[in-house]
Amino acid sequence: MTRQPPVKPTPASREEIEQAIEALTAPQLVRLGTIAAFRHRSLGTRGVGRNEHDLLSDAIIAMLEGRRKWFKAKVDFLSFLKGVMRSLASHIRAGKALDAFDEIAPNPVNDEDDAEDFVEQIPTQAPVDPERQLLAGNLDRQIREQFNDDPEVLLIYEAFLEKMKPAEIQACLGLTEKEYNAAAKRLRRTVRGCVEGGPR
Amino acid sequence: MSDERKIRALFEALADSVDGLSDEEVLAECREDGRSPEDIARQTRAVLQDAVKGFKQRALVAAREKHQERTATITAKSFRLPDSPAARRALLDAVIARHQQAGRLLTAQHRDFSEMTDEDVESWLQQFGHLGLLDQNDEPGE
Repeated sequence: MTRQPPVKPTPASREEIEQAIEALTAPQLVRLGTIAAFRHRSLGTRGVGRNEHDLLSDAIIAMLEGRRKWFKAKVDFLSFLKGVMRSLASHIRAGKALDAFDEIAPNPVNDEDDAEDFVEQIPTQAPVDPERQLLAGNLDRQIREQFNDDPEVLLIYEAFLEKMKPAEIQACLGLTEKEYNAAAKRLRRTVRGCVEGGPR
Repeated sequence: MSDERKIRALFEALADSVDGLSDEEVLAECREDGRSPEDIARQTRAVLQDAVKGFKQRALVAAREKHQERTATITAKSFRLPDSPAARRALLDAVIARHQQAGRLLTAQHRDFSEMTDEDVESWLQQFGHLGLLDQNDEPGE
Protein backbone atom coordinates (compact mmCIF):
# COMPACT_ATOMS: atom_id res chain seq x y z
CA MET A 1 0.00 0.00 0.00
CA THR A 2 1.41 3.39 -0.97
CA ARG A 3 1.33 6.11 1.60
CA GLN A 4 -0.16 9.40 0.47
CA PRO A 5 2.03 12.46 1.07
CA PRO A 6 0.70 14.66 3.91
CA VAL A 7 -1.70 17.29 2.67
CA LYS A 8 -0.23 20.77 3.13
CA PRO A 9 -2.79 22.89 5.00
CA THR A 10 -4.07 25.82 2.98
CA PRO A 11 -4.80 29.16 4.57
CA ALA A 12 -8.39 30.42 4.67
CA SER A 13 -9.62 32.14 1.53
CA ARG A 14 -11.01 35.68 1.43
CA GLU A 15 -14.52 34.25 1.30
CA GLU A 16 -13.86 32.14 4.38
CA ILE A 17 -12.53 35.17 6.22
CA GLU A 18 -15.64 37.12 5.28
CA GLN A 19 -17.86 34.25 6.43
CA ALA A 20 -15.98 34.09 9.72
CA ILE A 21 -16.58 37.82 10.27
CA GLU A 22 -20.30 37.36 9.62
CA ALA A 23 -20.40 34.44 12.04
CA LEU A 24 -18.95 36.40 14.99
CA THR A 25 -21.45 36.67 17.82
CA ALA A 26 -22.25 39.85 19.75
CA PRO A 27 -20.19 38.85 22.82
CA GLN A 28 -17.24 37.99 20.57
CA LEU A 29 -17.50 41.35 18.83
CA VAL A 30 -17.70 43.21 22.15
CA ARG A 31 -14.67 41.27 23.35
CA LEU A 32 -12.75 42.20 20.19
CA GLY A 33 -13.76 45.85 20.50
CA THR A 34 -12.71 45.96 24.15
CA ILE A 35 -9.37 44.31 23.49
CA ALA A 36 -8.72 46.56 20.48
CA ALA A 37 -9.33 49.65 22.64
CA PHE A 38 -6.86 48.48 25.32
CA ARG A 39 -4.29 47.42 22.72
CA HIS A 40 -4.54 50.82 21.05
CA ARG A 41 -3.86 52.49 24.40
CA SER A 42 -0.84 50.22 24.83
CA LEU A 43 0.76 51.81 21.77
CA GLY A 44 1.51 54.97 23.74
CA THR A 45 3.13 57.66 21.61
CA ARG A 46 3.14 55.31 18.64
CA GLY A 47 -0.65 55.25 18.77
CA VAL A 48 -0.84 58.92 17.79
CA GLY A 49 -2.74 59.28 14.53
CA ARG A 50 -4.37 55.89 14.93
CA ASN A 51 -7.64 55.02 16.57
CA GLU A 52 -8.77 51.91 18.42
CA HIS A 53 -10.36 50.49 15.29
CA ASP A 54 -7.17 50.65 13.22
CA LEU A 55 -5.63 47.57 14.81
CA LEU A 56 -8.77 45.59 13.99
CA SER A 57 -8.76 46.82 10.39
CA ASP A 58 -5.04 46.22 10.00
CA ALA A 59 -5.40 42.69 11.37
CA ILE A 60 -8.14 41.85 8.85
CA ILE A 61 -6.20 43.39 5.96
CA ALA A 62 -3.06 41.48 6.97
CA MET A 63 -5.14 38.29 6.78
CA LEU A 64 -6.72 39.20 3.44
CA GLU A 65 -3.35 40.09 1.94
CA GLY A 66 -1.92 36.81 3.17
CA ARG A 67 0.67 38.43 5.41
CA ARG A 68 -1.01 36.61 8.28
CA LYS A 69 -2.33 33.23 7.23
CA TRP A 70 -5.26 31.79 9.12
CA PHE A 71 -5.32 27.99 9.13
CA LYS A 72 -8.83 27.06 10.16
CA ALA A 73 -7.89 23.61 11.36
CA LYS A 74 -5.26 24.99 13.73
CA VAL A 75 -7.03 27.85 15.45
CA ASP A 76 -10.47 29.47 15.56
CA PHE A 77 -11.00 32.84 13.90
CA LEU A 78 -11.51 34.85 17.10
CA SER A 79 -8.31 33.59 18.72
CA PHE A 80 -6.37 34.14 15.52
CA LEU A 81 -7.67 37.69 15.08
CA LYS A 82 -6.80 38.52 18.69
CA GLY A 83 -3.34 37.07 18.14
CA VAL A 84 -2.78 39.14 15.02
CA MET A 85 -3.84 42.31 16.84
CA ARG A 86 -1.46 41.53 19.69
CA SER A 87 1.35 40.88 17.22
CA LEU A 88 0.73 44.09 15.25
CA ALA A 89 0.58 46.14 18.46
CA SER A 90 3.83 44.56 19.61
CA HIS A 91 5.54 45.42 16.31
CA ILE A 92 4.36 49.00 16.44
CA ARG A 93 5.34 49.36 20.12
CA ALA A 94 8.78 47.90 19.46
CA GLY A 95 9.36 50.60 16.87
CA LYS A 96 9.82 48.12 14.09
CA ALA A 97 7.14 49.72 11.98
CA LEU A 98 7.98 53.23 10.90
CA ASP A 99 4.41 54.45 10.80
CA ALA A 100 0.81 53.36 10.47
CA PHE A 101 1.23 52.59 6.79
CA ASP A 102 4.22 50.31 7.14
CA GLU A 103 4.14 46.73 6.08
CA ILE A 104 4.00 44.49 9.09
CA ALA A 105 6.53 41.65 9.19
CA PRO A 106 5.14 38.17 8.66
CA ASN A 107 4.51 36.01 11.67
CA PRO A 108 7.17 33.28 11.49
CA VAL A 109 4.96 30.90 13.45
CA ASN A 110 2.41 30.47 10.71
CA ASP A 111 3.98 32.26 7.80
CA GLU A 112 7.19 30.40 7.20
CA ASP A 113 7.50 31.16 3.50
CA ASP A 114 7.61 34.92 3.85
CA ALA A 115 10.76 36.91 4.24
CA GLU A 116 11.04 39.72 6.74
CA ASP A 117 10.39 43.15 5.38
CA PHE A 118 13.57 45.22 5.48
CA VAL A 119 11.60 48.02 7.09
CA GLU A 120 11.17 45.79 10.10
CA GLN A 121 14.89 45.80 10.64
CA ILE A 122 15.05 49.54 11.09
CA PRO A 123 14.12 50.36 14.65
CA THR A 124 13.07 53.93 15.12
CA GLN A 125 12.99 56.16 18.13
CA ALA A 126 9.45 56.96 19.24
CA PRO A 127 9.18 60.71 19.67
CA VAL A 128 9.02 61.84 23.28
CA ASP A 129 5.74 63.59 23.91
CA PRO A 130 5.82 65.53 27.20
CA GLU A 131 2.03 65.76 27.25
CA ARG A 132 1.65 62.00 27.03
CA GLN A 133 4.32 61.54 29.69
CA LEU A 134 2.30 63.82 31.93
CA LEU A 135 -0.94 61.94 31.21
CA ALA A 136 0.78 58.64 31.91
CA GLY A 137 2.13 59.97 35.19
CA ASN A 138 -1.31 61.25 36.13
CA LEU A 139 -2.93 57.90 35.37
CA ASP A 140 -0.40 56.09 37.54
CA ARG A 141 -1.10 58.54 40.38
CA GLN A 142 -4.88 58.26 39.94
CA ILE A 143 -4.77 54.46 40.05
CA ARG A 144 -2.69 54.48 43.23
CA GLU A 145 -4.98 57.03 44.89
CA GLN A 146 -8.15 55.25 43.79
CA PHE A 147 -7.01 51.89 45.14
CA ASN A 148 -5.29 53.11 48.26
CA ASP A 149 -7.74 51.02 50.28
CA ASP A 150 -7.84 48.08 47.87
CA PRO A 151 -4.41 46.47 48.10
CA GLU A 152 -5.51 43.48 46.01
CA VAL A 153 -6.00 45.69 42.96
CA LEU A 154 -2.86 47.68 43.66
CA LEU A 155 -0.82 44.47 43.78
CA ILE A 156 -2.37 43.27 40.54
CA TYR A 157 -1.52 46.65 39.02
CA GLU A 158 2.09 46.26 40.11
CA ALA A 159 2.12 42.73 38.71
CA PHE A 160 0.77 44.01 35.39
CA LEU A 161 3.63 46.52 35.26
CA GLU A 162 6.02 43.63 35.82
CA LYS A 163 4.36 41.87 32.84
CA MET A 164 3.35 38.90 34.97
CA LYS A 165 0.81 36.45 33.54
CA PRO A 166 -2.60 35.95 35.22
CA ALA A 167 -1.73 32.45 36.48
CA GLU A 168 1.53 33.76 37.97
CA ILE A 169 -0.27 36.64 39.63
CA GLN A 170 -2.91 34.38 41.11
CA ALA A 171 -0.30 31.98 42.44
CA CYS A 172 1.88 34.76 43.77
CA LEU A 173 -0.94 36.62 45.51
CA GLY A 174 -2.84 33.49 46.57
CA LEU A 175 -5.98 34.55 44.68
CA THR A 176 -8.63 32.28 43.23
CA GLU A 177 -9.49 32.84 39.57
CA LYS A 178 -12.75 34.45 40.63
CA GLU A 179 -11.02 36.83 43.05
CA TYR A 180 -8.41 37.69 40.44
CA ASN A 181 -11.03 38.38 37.76
CA ALA A 182 -13.07 40.54 40.15
CA ALA A 183 -10.03 42.62 41.10
CA ALA A 184 -8.88 42.91 37.47
CA LYS A 185 -12.38 44.08 36.59
CA ARG A 186 -12.19 46.86 39.23
CA LEU A 187 -8.89 47.94 37.74
CA ARG A 188 -10.21 47.85 34.15
CA ARG A 189 -13.25 49.93 35.03
CA THR A 190 -11.22 52.52 36.90
CA VAL A 191 -8.63 52.82 34.15
CA ARG A 192 -11.34 53.11 31.52
CA GLY A 193 -13.00 55.79 33.60
CA CYS A 194 -9.73 57.69 33.96
CA VAL A 195 -8.89 57.69 30.26
CA GLU A 196 -12.39 58.11 28.89
CA GLY A 197 -13.93 60.16 31.67
CA GLY A 198 -16.61 57.48 32.10
CA PRO A 199 -17.80 55.61 35.18
CA ARG A 200 -15.20 54.40 37.67
CA MET B 1 10.56 52.28 34.11
CA SER B 2 9.18 55.54 32.67
CA ASP B 3 5.55 56.42 33.30
CA GLU B 4 4.70 55.90 29.65
CA ARG B 5 6.31 52.44 29.61
CA LYS B 6 4.35 51.56 32.73
CA ILE B 7 1.12 52.60 31.09
CA ARG B 8 1.91 50.61 27.96
CA ALA B 9 2.49 47.52 30.09
CA LEU B 10 -0.73 48.20 31.98
CA PHE B 11 -2.89 48.43 28.86
CA GLU B 12 -1.29 45.36 27.39
CA ALA B 13 -2.14 43.43 30.56
CA LEU B 14 -5.67 44.86 30.62
CA ALA B 15 -6.20 43.67 27.04
CA ASP B 16 -5.01 40.20 28.04
CA SER B 17 -7.20 40.22 31.14
CA VAL B 18 -10.34 40.47 28.99
CA ASP B 19 -9.52 37.01 27.65
CA GLY B 20 -10.12 35.49 31.06
CA LEU B 21 -13.76 36.60 31.04
CA SER B 22 -16.76 34.57 29.96
CA ASP B 23 -19.08 35.96 27.27
CA GLU B 24 -21.63 36.88 29.95
CA GLU B 25 -19.00 38.74 31.96
CA VAL B 26 -17.85 40.68 28.88
CA LEU B 27 -21.42 41.81 28.16
CA ALA B 28 -22.17 42.55 31.82
CA GLU B 29 -19.03 44.67 32.24
CA CYS B 30 -19.93 46.59 29.14
CA ARG B 31 -23.42 47.36 30.48
CA GLU B 32 -22.06 48.24 33.94
CA ASP B 33 -19.82 50.82 32.29
CA GLY B 34 -22.90 52.39 30.74
CA ARG B 35 -22.04 51.22 27.23
CA SER B 36 -24.40 49.35 24.96
CA PRO B 37 -23.05 45.91 23.97
CA GLU B 38 -25.35 45.97 20.95
CA ASP B 39 -23.87 49.27 19.74
CA ILE B 40 -20.30 48.10 20.32
CA ALA B 41 -20.97 44.79 18.57
CA ARG B 42 -22.53 46.61 15.60
CA GLN B 43 -19.67 49.11 15.45
CA THR B 44 -16.99 46.40 15.66
CA ARG B 45 -18.63 44.33 12.94
CA ALA B 46 -18.82 47.45 10.75
CA VAL B 47 -15.09 48.07 11.26
CA LEU B 48 -14.30 44.52 10.14
CA GLN B 49 -16.66 44.70 7.17
CA ASP B 50 -15.29 48.09 6.14
CA ALA B 51 -11.78 46.66 6.20
CA VAL B 52 -12.88 43.89 3.82
CA LYS B 53 -14.71 46.37 1.61
CA GLY B 54 -11.69 48.69 1.53
CA PHE B 55 -9.43 45.80 0.64
CA LYS B 56 -11.69 44.76 -2.27
CA GLN B 57 -11.98 48.33 -3.53
CA ARG B 58 -8.24 48.73 -3.34
CA ALA B 59 -7.79 45.62 -5.46
CA LEU B 60 -10.32 46.96 -7.95
CA VAL B 61 -8.65 50.37 -8.10
CA ALA B 62 -5.28 48.69 -8.65
CA ALA B 63 -6.73 46.59 -11.49
CA ARG B 64 -8.30 49.67 -13.08
CA GLU B 65 -5.05 51.63 -12.83
CA LYS B 66 -3.17 48.76 -14.44
CA HIS B 67 -5.70 48.64 -17.26
CA GLN B 68 -5.49 52.42 -17.76
CA GLU B 69 -1.72 52.20 -17.78
CA ARG B 70 -1.83 49.50 -20.43
CA THR B 71 -4.31 51.47 -22.53
CA ALA B 72 -2.17 54.59 -22.25
CA THR B 73 0.89 52.64 -23.37
CA ILE B 74 -0.97 51.34 -26.41
CA THR B 75 -2.34 54.78 -27.25
CA ALA B 76 1.04 56.41 -26.87
CA LYS B 77 2.68 53.94 -29.18
CA SER B 78 2.42 55.13 -32.76
CA PHE B 79 3.60 53.09 -35.73
CA ARG B 80 5.72 54.75 -38.31
CA LEU B 81 3.88 54.53 -41.59
CA PRO B 82 4.95 55.32 -45.15
CA ASP B 83 4.93 59.02 -45.95
CA SER B 84 2.72 59.05 -49.01
CA PRO B 85 -1.01 58.22 -49.01
CA ALA B 86 -0.50 55.87 -51.95
CA ALA B 87 2.19 53.93 -50.14
CA ARG B 88 -0.03 53.67 -47.05
CA ARG B 89 -2.93 52.29 -49.17
CA ALA B 90 -0.54 49.78 -50.65
CA LEU B 91 0.55 48.75 -47.16
CA LEU B 92 -3.10 48.34 -46.07
CA ASP B 93 -3.73 46.09 -49.10
CA ALA B 94 -0.69 44.04 -48.17
CA VAL B 95 -1.82 43.64 -44.55
CA ILE B 96 -5.32 42.56 -45.66
CA ALA B 97 -3.82 40.08 -48.06
CA ARG B 98 -1.72 38.60 -45.23
CA HIS B 99 -4.46 38.60 -42.59
CA GLN B 100 -7.93 37.54 -43.74
CA GLN B 101 -9.54 38.45 -40.42
CA ALA B 102 -8.23 41.99 -40.72
CA GLY B 103 -9.79 42.14 -44.16
CA ARG B 104 -13.17 40.98 -42.86
CA LEU B 105 -12.99 43.54 -40.06
CA LEU B 106 -12.32 46.30 -42.51
CA THR B 107 -14.95 45.15 -45.03
CA ALA B 108 -17.55 45.19 -42.30
CA GLN B 109 -17.11 48.95 -42.03
CA HIS B 110 -16.02 49.97 -45.51
CA ARG B 111 -17.67 48.15 -48.39
CA ASP B 112 -15.63 50.05 -50.94
CA PHE B 113 -11.96 50.52 -50.10
CA SER B 114 -11.63 53.21 -52.71
CA GLU B 115 -14.00 55.42 -50.73
CA MET B 116 -11.80 55.29 -47.64
CA THR B 117 -10.17 58.61 -46.86
CA ASP B 118 -6.45 58.88 -46.28
CA GLU B 119 -7.21 59.41 -42.56
CA ASP B 120 -9.24 56.17 -42.49
CA VAL B 121 -6.34 54.30 -44.04
CA GLU B 122 -3.90 55.74 -41.52
CA SER B 123 -6.23 54.99 -38.60
CA TRP B 124 -6.74 51.37 -39.72
CA LEU B 125 -3.03 50.86 -40.16
CA GLN B 126 -2.38 52.17 -36.63
CA GLN B 127 -5.06 49.84 -35.21
CA PHE B 128 -3.62 46.87 -37.10
CA GLY B 129 -0.22 47.86 -35.76
CA HIS B 130 -1.50 47.70 -32.17
CA LEU B 131 -3.02 44.32 -32.94
CA GLY B 132 0.41 43.14 -34.00
CA LEU B 133 -0.47 42.74 -37.66
CA LEU B 134 2.26 45.04 -38.96
CA ASP B 135 5.68 43.51 -39.50
CA GLN B 136 8.90 45.37 -38.80
CA ASN B 137 9.37 45.31 -42.59
CA ASP B 138 6.14 47.28 -42.97
CA GLU B 139 7.58 50.26 -41.16
CA PRO B 140 9.67 52.50 -43.40
CA GLY B 141 13.38 52.52 -42.68
CA GLU B 142 15.32 55.53 -41.37
